Amino acid sequence: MLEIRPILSALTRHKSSTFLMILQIAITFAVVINSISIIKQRLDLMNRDTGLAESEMIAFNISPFGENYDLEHNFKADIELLRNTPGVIDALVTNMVPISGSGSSSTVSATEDDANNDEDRGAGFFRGDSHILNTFGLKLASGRNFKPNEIVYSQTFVEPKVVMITQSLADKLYPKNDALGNQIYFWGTSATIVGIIEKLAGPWPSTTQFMDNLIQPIISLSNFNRIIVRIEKSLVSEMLVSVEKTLLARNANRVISNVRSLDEIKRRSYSDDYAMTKILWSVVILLISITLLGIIGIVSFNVNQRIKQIGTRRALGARKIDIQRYFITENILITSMGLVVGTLIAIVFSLYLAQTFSIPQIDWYYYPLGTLVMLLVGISAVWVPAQRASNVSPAVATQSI
Amino acid sequence: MFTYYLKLSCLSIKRTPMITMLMIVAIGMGIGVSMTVLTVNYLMGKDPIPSKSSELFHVQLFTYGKGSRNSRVDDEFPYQVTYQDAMNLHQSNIPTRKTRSLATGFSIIPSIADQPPFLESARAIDSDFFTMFKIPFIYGEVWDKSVDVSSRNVAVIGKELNDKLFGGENSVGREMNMEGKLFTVVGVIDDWQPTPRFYDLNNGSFNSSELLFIPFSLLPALELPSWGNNNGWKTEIINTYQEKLGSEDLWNQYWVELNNTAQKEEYLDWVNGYISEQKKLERFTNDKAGVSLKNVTQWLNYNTVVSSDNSILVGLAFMFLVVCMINTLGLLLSKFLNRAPEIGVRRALGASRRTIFFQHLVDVGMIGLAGGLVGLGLSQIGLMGVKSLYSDYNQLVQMDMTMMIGSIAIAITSSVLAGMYPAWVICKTNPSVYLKIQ
Amino acid sequence: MLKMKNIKKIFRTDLVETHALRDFSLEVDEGEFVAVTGPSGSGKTTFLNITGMLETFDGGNYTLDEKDVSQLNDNQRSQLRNEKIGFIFQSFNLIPDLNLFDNVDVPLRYRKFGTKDRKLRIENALERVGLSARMKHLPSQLSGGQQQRVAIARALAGEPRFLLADEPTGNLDSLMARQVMQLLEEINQQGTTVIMVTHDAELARRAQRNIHIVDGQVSDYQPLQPVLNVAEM
Repeated sequence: MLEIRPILSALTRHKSSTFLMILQIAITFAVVINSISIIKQRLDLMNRDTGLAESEMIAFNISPFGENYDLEHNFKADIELLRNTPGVIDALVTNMVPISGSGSSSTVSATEDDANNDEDRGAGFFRGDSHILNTFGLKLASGRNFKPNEIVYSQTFVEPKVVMITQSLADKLYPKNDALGNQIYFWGTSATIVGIIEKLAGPWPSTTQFMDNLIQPIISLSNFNRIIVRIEKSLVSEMLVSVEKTLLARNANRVISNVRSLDEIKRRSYSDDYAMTKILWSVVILLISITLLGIIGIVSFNVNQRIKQIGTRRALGARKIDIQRYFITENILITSMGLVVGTLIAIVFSLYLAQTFSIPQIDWYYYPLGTLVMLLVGISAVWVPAQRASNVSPAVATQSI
Repeated sequence: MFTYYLKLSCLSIKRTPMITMLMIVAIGMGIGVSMTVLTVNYLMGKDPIPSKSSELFHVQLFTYGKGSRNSRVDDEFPYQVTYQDAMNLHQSNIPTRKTRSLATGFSIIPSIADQPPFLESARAIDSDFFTMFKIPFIYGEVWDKSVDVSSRNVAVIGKELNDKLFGGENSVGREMNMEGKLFTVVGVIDDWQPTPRFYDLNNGSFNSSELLFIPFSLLPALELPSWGNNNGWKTEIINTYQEKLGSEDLWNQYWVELNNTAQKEEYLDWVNGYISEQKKLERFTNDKAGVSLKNVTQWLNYNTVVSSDNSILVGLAFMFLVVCMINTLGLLLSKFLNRAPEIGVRRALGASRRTIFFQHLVDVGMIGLAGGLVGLGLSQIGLMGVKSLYSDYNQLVQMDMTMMIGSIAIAITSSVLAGMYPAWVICKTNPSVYLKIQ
Repeated sequence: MLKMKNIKKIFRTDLVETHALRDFSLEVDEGEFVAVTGPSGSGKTTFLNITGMLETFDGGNYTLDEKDVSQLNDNQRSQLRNEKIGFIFQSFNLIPDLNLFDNVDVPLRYRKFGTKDRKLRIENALERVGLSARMKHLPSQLSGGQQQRVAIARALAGEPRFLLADEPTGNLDSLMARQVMQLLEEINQQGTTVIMVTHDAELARRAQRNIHIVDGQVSDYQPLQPVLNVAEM
């Protein structure tokens, strides 16, 4: 029915241009599916569940100066002012902002021995009071929040008696699921775990310890604190503009800086990944466009070269649709051969990326999906030239030069 | 003869405008994409201080105790040094120049009434810093060497900060209020933004350089906090600034200038001697205790300033260019075969194979040139796009002359390479094949 | 079998109206060998195109095996062409990329014969023109005369109602021309109708019947008596 064998046979007379088309389709396919795989990985990375009410949070730095600045008094006054602002859900003085790329971390372990034997793990160390759950939008998986009498305001080093940790950290340190109520060891001291939080992201998205965090019931009286405010989503942009003025009006002896929404902080932290996805998208689209245009160009040319042949076929009884099918079939054959070669190249390329750059390999379903897309691209490229071919008049066969 | 070829090329382009357009677009896009990526890659990996990069060394000391290490690098050395080590290293007179370094910052309270206080990052360094890194002054000069020992509240500021606080005038001798303390300006430096910011890569490779420089000797007096990284591997109680200065916390950097191998060897000996001394004080207890000197280039590689993403993009850009070339090759083959009857006639009339070959190469060269120009334009657009994507890389994305000429050269070379096969095919076939009336 | 009555074909451009065929009539019965002659510009090619349904006409009537051709759409005409007419062209029109087997195969593919059936027909057709030994060769490896014979095999393979030949020996030397004509005569003697268009009067004489076209119309021109072959005497 489809004249596959004669078409293949005819192609062997044009080895060069056929080979070139196959190579072009193959490399395009390999590059495209690897790129899309990387794009998806980055997007997944950026959209990970952080456990935070990201779109409702604002963070800024408060840097006091001058003598006689009472940190504890001012923190409490600022927080009260913020909490009483209409639309504000909660506010918190803390030491670091999630996802921001800046913060403090230390090593923790489930037993004293583990610390000495290098069996410890890194975790982010958050500091705050009981408002941290509500300000960040966190959920407790088990246990409880801090009690008011457990919170310490201190300038000097303090050993907290209780802490909350994330489920992710609990799973890593306590395989027997007995984290709650157990001791956790750090800094040569230990504390009791009173609460386990479902999910809380720390400051460093590209680390394995991103979701492993610990919260201490401490407000450090230091000049390097951050304030985090959770406010209704619709009022975020307004607060970004007004918060500096509001706080300076109460006390002007500080600099309020880096006022940003958590969404913006996230965008900045992921700017490399975000940029990579944009660039890869451009590469994918441009590459497919070039291949598309190239195929259209070459097929159009081939049609022009074979006008006499097309007329002859029509004279011998081919209908318009038979001519169209001929060119489309020819194109599908070439594209398919290109895709077979392309799949091999893609696999090799993927292995190389995995080994050299630790990029996870492509999921299996990309190959059939990519094949389908490339076939569609090929067919759409050949469609118009094939149409033109079918419109060649059979009278061409009897023309003499 | 060459002008004749040019004339023929122009005629042939007129005859097959569509295919020629397609080829120019294909080459243009290939060059555009690859040059954008290659430019960023080139600029990222460019030596920021080529005249001295092999003579400037960053010092690392393996001060960890047993069981600790920097797992982010192969040699496991910590990125920074302790305060006591920075102070002690500074005792050596072997290096031509040397500087301690700390990233810090201040709230600045401007003297102009309606300018609100603002935060400004600063760097605490020694006077050698400016000559070591070849930083040009526009007013005044760096503080005297004696200030590196007995501190004074002096500062060198950058042009941008000078413009902001003093309207760009010669502000030497003027005072600045930094968190209630008065500092005297002793010098103003010109715009200086080394790319990457090699002297401190701890918080990002392409951050802007500071606009405010103060003596490192001020650390204890002003209790200057770190605005950079602090790493503590040892469990220590650190409540006061004094305790921090005496701790094993890693938060300072140290750079030396060593102009020849002999000097470098001498310095290494000295440092190793220092380490042996320290071991007696029960420091440097790890088996790997030692020193590592890395020059600017080595330091940049060590910190993988050119990210793996960037390397991946270079690979992809190359494959993109290959696809564009294959595309062009295919289109060239078609275009040349279209002209075959004319070529047959020319051969019959006496043109040699070589003539036909060169005629076609000129054709291809012209298309390559056009494609290269298009590509150059597209890469400018590409670089603008990159600039908007990477907020850090503002300094980065200008194409210099080298890259521009490089673009055109790559365009023409790759086109001619691609065109050699079709040109060869055409000139080797028998003219009679094309003269036969079908 | 074939009836054309008052066929009219006009070519129009912005400036000029050309009547390529005006009031052309022809009837051909099964088994005939008809030669259509005329000077260049007389409308021979147009006649050929219309008879072969390669072009439509502007007036008159054309029935083939009782079927009115003017009522058919392009697809139906293609189908009819495929089943009923065997084309032979002046410049052979073999497809250069395909070998002889595949060339003869082309019209059969459009007919939807089964693989075995096609193979049989192709082999028989090539046998008939004496080229079955070179089935896998390419047209470029054959002489002009051999190529034309393959074209004839291609025309015959589908068992058409008639062969429609356009200057079949126009591109051949006299020896090959004679061979091809002999082949056509043989085929005609075996029962296949042949309509041949040619400007060569000598060639036309070998046909059983001659039609002469001048200015788009049949002219009253009586052919000379056929010249007998020396061998037949």
